[in-house]
Amino acid sequence: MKTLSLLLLLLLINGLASAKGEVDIPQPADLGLVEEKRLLKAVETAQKAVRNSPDDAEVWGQLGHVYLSHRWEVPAIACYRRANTLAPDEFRWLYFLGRLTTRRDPVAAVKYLNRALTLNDAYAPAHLYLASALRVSGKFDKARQHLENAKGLQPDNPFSELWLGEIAFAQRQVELARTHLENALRLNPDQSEAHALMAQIATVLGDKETAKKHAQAARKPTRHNALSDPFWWDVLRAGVTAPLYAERGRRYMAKGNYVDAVAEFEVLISRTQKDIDVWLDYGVSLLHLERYNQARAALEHAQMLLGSDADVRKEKKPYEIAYLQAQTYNYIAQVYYETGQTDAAILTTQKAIQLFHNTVGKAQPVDKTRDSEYTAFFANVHANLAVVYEGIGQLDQAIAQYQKALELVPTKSALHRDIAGVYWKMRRYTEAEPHYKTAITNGATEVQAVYRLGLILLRKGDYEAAIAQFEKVIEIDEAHIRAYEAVGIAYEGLGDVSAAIGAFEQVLQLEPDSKNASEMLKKLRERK
Amino acid sequence: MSGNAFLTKLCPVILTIVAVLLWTGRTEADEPLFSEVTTALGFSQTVSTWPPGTHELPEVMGGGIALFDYDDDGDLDVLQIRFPPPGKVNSPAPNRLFQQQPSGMFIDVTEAAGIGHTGYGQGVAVGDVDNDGDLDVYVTNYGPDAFYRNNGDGTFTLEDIGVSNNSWGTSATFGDYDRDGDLDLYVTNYVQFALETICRGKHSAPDYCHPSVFEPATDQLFRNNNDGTFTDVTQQAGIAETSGRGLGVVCLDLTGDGWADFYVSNDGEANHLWVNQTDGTFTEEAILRGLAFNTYGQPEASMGIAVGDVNNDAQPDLYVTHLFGETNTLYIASNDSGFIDMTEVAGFAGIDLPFTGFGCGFLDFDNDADLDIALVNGRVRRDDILDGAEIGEFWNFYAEPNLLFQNNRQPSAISHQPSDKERNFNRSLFTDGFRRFPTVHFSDVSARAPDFTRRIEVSRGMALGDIDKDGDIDMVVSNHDNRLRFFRNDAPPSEHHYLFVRAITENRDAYGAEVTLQTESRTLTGYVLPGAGYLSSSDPVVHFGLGITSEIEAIEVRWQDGNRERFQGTPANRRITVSQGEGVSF
Repeated sequence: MKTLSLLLLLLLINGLASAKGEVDIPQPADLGLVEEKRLLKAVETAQKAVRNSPDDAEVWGQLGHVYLSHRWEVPAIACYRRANTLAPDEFRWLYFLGRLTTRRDPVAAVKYLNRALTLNDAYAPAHLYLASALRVSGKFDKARQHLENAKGLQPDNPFSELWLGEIAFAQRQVELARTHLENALRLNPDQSEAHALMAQIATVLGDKETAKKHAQAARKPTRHNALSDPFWWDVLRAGVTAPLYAERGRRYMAKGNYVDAVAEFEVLISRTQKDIDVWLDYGVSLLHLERYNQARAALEHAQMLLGSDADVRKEKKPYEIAYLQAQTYNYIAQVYYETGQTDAAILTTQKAIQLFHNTVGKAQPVDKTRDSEYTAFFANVHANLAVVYEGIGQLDQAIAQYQKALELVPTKSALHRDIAGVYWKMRRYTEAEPHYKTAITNGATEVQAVYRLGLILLRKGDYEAAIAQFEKVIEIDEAHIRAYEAVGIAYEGLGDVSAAIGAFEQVLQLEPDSKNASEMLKKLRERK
Repeated sequence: MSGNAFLTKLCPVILTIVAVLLWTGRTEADEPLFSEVTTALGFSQTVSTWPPGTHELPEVMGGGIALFDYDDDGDLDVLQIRFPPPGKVNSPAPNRLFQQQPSGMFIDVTEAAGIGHTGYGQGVAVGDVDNDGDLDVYVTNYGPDAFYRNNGDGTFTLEDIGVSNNSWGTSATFGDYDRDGDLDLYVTNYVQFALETICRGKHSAPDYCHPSVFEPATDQLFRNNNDGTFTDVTQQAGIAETSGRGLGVVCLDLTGDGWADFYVSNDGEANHLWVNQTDGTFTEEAILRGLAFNTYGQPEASMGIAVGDVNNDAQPDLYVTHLFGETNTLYIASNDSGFIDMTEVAGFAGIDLPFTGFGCGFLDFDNDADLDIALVNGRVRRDDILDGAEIGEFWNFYAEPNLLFQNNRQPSAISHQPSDKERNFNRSLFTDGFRRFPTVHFSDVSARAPDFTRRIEVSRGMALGDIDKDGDIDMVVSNHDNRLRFFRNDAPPSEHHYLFVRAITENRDAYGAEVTLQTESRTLTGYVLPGAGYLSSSDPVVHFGLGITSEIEAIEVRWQDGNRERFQGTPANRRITVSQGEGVSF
């Protein structure tokens, strides 16, 4: 009833205003369908501001933001147009006009964005949207120029290389297309769009195997890295519906800003909230803020909804429910671990693993597009369990869990490093060695891993290989005294007394009081 | 005389001059290209108000149209696939068959013909499955599909011939994929849907679900046993290997090996190209051949499919309609690399971006010897109301105008010439690829067909054929409320010629055959392909606009079994039939 009254009031005010001929405010056609009071209130407030200051571009822009954030694009365009009329030299209104018309009227979008860029040509997203509108209009060369500009301004933006590759391919410049697409895949190896075109290129070149490999990768949906677009935040901030709070919360999470993330999610948290993702994200944000009790309560609520709420269960497939339950168990386990409840942590993590083996793992043929996500997650769960076991000294159990994680993601360097660390603790150096080697080959650059591999090789008497590792350590950390010592010992082992003396002299330079180095130097010089 | 009085006196004179100028300035280009003739053909325009939607997805997806000569009397009849109004799922909405009379008017003969299936109608395929010379009908439903055998006496019999499909069937097509002389059947299935599933759209208000909410359904392939029955070969043919949310399908050789393939448009995910392995099995190669995604490498919400040789290079090109915010995609066949998305350089300029396309077709509406494009639109999600929408408070949010594009064969924006390095990089692509890759350019001529394009409605199916037998292609369109609209082609200039070729094999239309006309100035290629567009079936007779060419030197047919025959030439402006075995093999 309140909602209806608010809506009637809104319509009445607009009717009166129009009758007086005061301000003609664009209205969303389906405003009458809106039931959310918060949204009606936001619209009313923004419209009132326009009515009070009809010659203020900012208030028109703000009303545009309110409309746009709630997906009323047509009235939003009208508002930005008005703002642009009032403040023709303001970049933002032209940018939003261009951005909004890219998919509705590309010719107009080109006009708006070109003008916007004369006011601020350092805003990469404007170049990208302009490139998009130019592409649709078949103006490839100009689009290319703006993509290059965007790349220069934001080298890691997720679209420049991809679109440059696509344009080159559309123009049959296969070699150039391949170069751009390879760059795009370096920025984001999961860009299915790039894989799709690489598959076609490989087909053209007769390389069937590569084509098949890319075609397979192209079937998975892309998760694009977010484009940095600060002005878009203004729009997001104008949003007052649940999805917008959630989106803002997730964006804050992605930036590691858990305080603001929690603030956004808290607006949505109530007994009637049934969006599992909101509960999970809220719980995880609290976990990061070390508000463990609240985190556990949020996660347990999610678990309860997943387990027994008919509405929640009806909307999801069984393996999706199981996957969400597993995630929830995993985070609850983390709460237990952080609060020293290791037995509970183990039990809860095991529940998550059980869900994978019984449900989600078996669902992979059904939902192939997410298999890498599933396997990566469950490898992580096994690794988490390994950490708990390691923490309480059950090292055999820890190794067993790491091995299970490695069965799922055999090349993950961090897992190799960590399992090697446990072997190291157990003095099972022979078993640690291949894992350290794999970890380092796959990109692990932690000093400790490299140093330990050097020591293992030293123990085996493989002095030259050991020296190579220690030199890597010194490259990373010039002040690593133990590495110099180890180099000295290795050279001694090789019979190269001069080199060994040189190494220990380095130690003394870094640590003048080192008794060990002094004694070794004395011994070596006597031998010399 | 005051200035005002002078102007008052002068006004009629000015108006007369303007009127004369306007009248004398009128050209053929000012005449509407299409005129709506629904009422004139005997169809009632008074449709009771369609109830507001209930947001159950099937109510916004149908329904198809078949334009075919069911009684073999030489003119086209219409089968309309119908569905119940929103909220009345169980109330029967029988399909309707309209027979064209010698006067050109249509009468409803559903009852007499016995073809009024009462399922929740979606699509239709037409083909002579028993090679007895008359056209049988397969109807897809949300629910069990239905097969009607044509008895050859103006009636049909509902039969169980082994083509049962209980999924949500959408488009279906007949084609002889195994080259054994009879028509097989491919049925696309959409999603595993339950009627009670309601989703929410903007601002949490109920709206039609995005298809990704539901699991995709597996399409079905039925092999004709040559005895009037079919066997479900979906598994052994490999079609079950990959599911998709299928909405459109065509059966044609798209790989140039002479064997029919199936191309399926999927909603919101990669399209499928089932490439015939010539041993009864298929492999899915859409990504490898450039037909899975758009030029951006992105999946789109694919609906209808048009097939034709738009750039006159004797290869079939494809046009696929899509959702708001996505271009309708023009895939041009390339000798070496499958298909290339040429949408951006073909002049569409994003005109179709704001609309959701469904039914579509290539047609040479102006008989100028190149293929144009017509498409019908209508949303599946609520959005801002467009000016002119007057189909009810609920449906106005879904209504859009239709579009018409004319092929004007201007050079495209592609200007790149390969460098020496690129030539060396792949000689086969660039030495042949560019020379044999004629480009194509379209202009939006929607404004010149106001009857077809100015109504703001929710349209779905479209079928093409020369309904009034005057030598050009007319259109029939279905809307969300079971309303049909007929559009008579008034476009071709009088000096433009045409030819209709009916290709017959084994006593039936030779589905999948490629018909080539040799004229003094050019070669034109067409395909016997009634099953295209969205949920619909068009006249299988191949229409050629000839421009000013009045004489055909030779007609060549590559039959579905791979054999080629040449037939002697003919003057233009007529309908001819070519039968397999009666030409000269080459």
